Amino acid sequence: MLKRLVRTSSFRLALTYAAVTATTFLVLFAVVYLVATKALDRQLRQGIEAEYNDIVAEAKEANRGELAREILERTTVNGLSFGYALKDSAGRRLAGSLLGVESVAGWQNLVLPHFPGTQDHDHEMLALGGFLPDGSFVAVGDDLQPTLAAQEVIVKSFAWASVLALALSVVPGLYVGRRFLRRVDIITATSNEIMSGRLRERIPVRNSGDEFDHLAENLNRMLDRIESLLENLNQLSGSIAHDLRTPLNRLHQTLEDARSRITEPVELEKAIDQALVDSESLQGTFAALLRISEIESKSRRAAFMPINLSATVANIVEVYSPVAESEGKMLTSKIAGGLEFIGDEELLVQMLANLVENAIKHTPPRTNLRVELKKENQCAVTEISDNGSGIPEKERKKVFERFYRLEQSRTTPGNGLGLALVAAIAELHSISVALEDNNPGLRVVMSFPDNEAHYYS
Amino acid sequence: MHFLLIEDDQRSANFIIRCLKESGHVVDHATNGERGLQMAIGEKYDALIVDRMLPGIDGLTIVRAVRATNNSVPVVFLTTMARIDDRVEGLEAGGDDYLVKPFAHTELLARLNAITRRAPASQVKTVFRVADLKMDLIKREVTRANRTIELQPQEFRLLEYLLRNEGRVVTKTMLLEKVWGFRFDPQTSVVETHISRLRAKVDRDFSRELIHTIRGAGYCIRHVEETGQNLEL
Repeated sequence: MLKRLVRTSSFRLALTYAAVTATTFLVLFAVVYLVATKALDRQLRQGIEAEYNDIVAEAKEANRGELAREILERTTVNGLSFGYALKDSAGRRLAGSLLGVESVAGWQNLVLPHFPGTQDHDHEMLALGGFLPDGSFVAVGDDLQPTLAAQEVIVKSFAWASVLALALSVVPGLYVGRRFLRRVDIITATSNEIMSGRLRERIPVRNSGDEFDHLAENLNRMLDRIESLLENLNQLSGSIAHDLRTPLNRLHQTLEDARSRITEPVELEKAIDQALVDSESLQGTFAALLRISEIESKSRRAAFMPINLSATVANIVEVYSPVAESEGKMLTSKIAGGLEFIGDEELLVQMLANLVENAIKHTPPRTNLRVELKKENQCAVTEISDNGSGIPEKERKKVFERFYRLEQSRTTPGNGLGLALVAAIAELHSISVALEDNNPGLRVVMSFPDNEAHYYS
Repeated sequence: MHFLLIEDDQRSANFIIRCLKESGHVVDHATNGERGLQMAIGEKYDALIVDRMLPGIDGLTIVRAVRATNNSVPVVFLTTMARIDDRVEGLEAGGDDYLVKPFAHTELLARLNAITRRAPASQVKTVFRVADLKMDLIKREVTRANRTIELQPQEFRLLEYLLRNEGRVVTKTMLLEKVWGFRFDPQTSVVETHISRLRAKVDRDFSRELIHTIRGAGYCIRHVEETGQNLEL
């Protein structure tokens, strides 16, 4: 767990934040330390300088004995931390407690083993010394301890603050990382379930609207789609097996019969003709299946071209009016002119022909059929309607499935692929196809998208 | 006529050779792409019948190579692939027609007849005559025995296609493709209905029928002098 935690992106992010925090603290520390040290040092030196100048001014008006007394007096005044030294020109100590001071003009650091009036050890002192006109040496020193202590406080407080800040940025990182991992684990577990065959499993959604929910929703949608595709595929392979076996069996039967029973040449010819019809119908089914999958692969989109939809629909009507008439039905039409569409003409012709043929084949005699092409909201709409027996509402979706046939049309010739092909062609062209009640009868409404602007741009 | 068949499947090849020979044609046969290409370039044929899928050089490449030598011999592709893209590719490579296996021998013969017929002179022909039937493409006028026959646009196209193939059988599939642009098998009797309508206008009121149904094959427009004469397939 810890190893994985360290590898999570949120932990790495937390670590980066920690590094940035640490760097910021370091820079801040350096600036504060330097500025504070400098300020303290200046303050100390100013104090020492003032006291030194005071002593030197005093020395101008007093002899050495008086000066020594003055120094002694100043040393014993409470609350002043200065230390003094007064030496004659030969270097002998006359007054003051700064023992180790050297007779050198200017600033010097020195260590006092024991500072008078305090309990401390090893005081570091800063001292300013100079020679008086008569050659004697005077020095004033002050304790460095407060400066050092201040520096120490700064270092310590920054150190603690840094540790705390680092902890504060890493711990939430770890926490977020764990939460992150838990949700990833749920997704992993769900996908394992699905892979082991439980296709209905879905990733839980918390409804918090965060990225994980979006991801889970998307994955669930994808799973729904895969499940329905799988279902289709299962159904399809079943249907193919069933729908192809029946004619194959028939073919086999016919041939076997002819082989074993028939002796008359005329009968034999009939049997062979029947076998040819059966095998042709099988070929037709295969061709239709292949065509559907070719269309579904969407490779035909590359061949889309502007077509005159009005002319295409008019052509279909012209082809099928006589056919409908010969079946005792009437095909009328109302076609708006000048409508264009970008698509595959060959396929659109087949789609329209399939629908018109369905209307001709699956309606009782004396049915009226109608084909309309009109413009609605800049888009072409084609309607093919009849006043026949229609399709029950609950069947309307299923008729677009491969091999699905309505109960009443099982006996009419056909392979059950016509509407599946229509659906595939419509899908390829983004045409929405709706089956509606024509009261009575069926109305197929095809809404063409307005795809010209896209094509010409 | 003299054809070259490039086809690797022996059964399919035997079927084609037999049906072409029965119709009085001469057939050379190559079983692979390289040999086929050599023969196609080396000799003059009336038409090539080329399978798309061949060992060695494939059918498309053969036809492209033949066309690259400025040879405009008519070509029919054979294929087991019924895909639309394949057909387009075949025609783009220089094929004149396309047959999807399995096909009836009448279909092959009819299509070979159609593509070998195209003599340059006939392309500018604007008036067709069969017996007393006359079609004028420029005036868009059809007359029989000097009586004008009114035709719908599709009936006109149908008659024009039949007349362009006068004396030759055209199959249902050919009519569907060339007259209506249908590249699929309709589930209703589209061709029969339109032919019968055309007949009602062209033949019904006259003593001699010109549009003939060839059983199991297709249709043919011709002037038959004597009854019982065999049709050339």
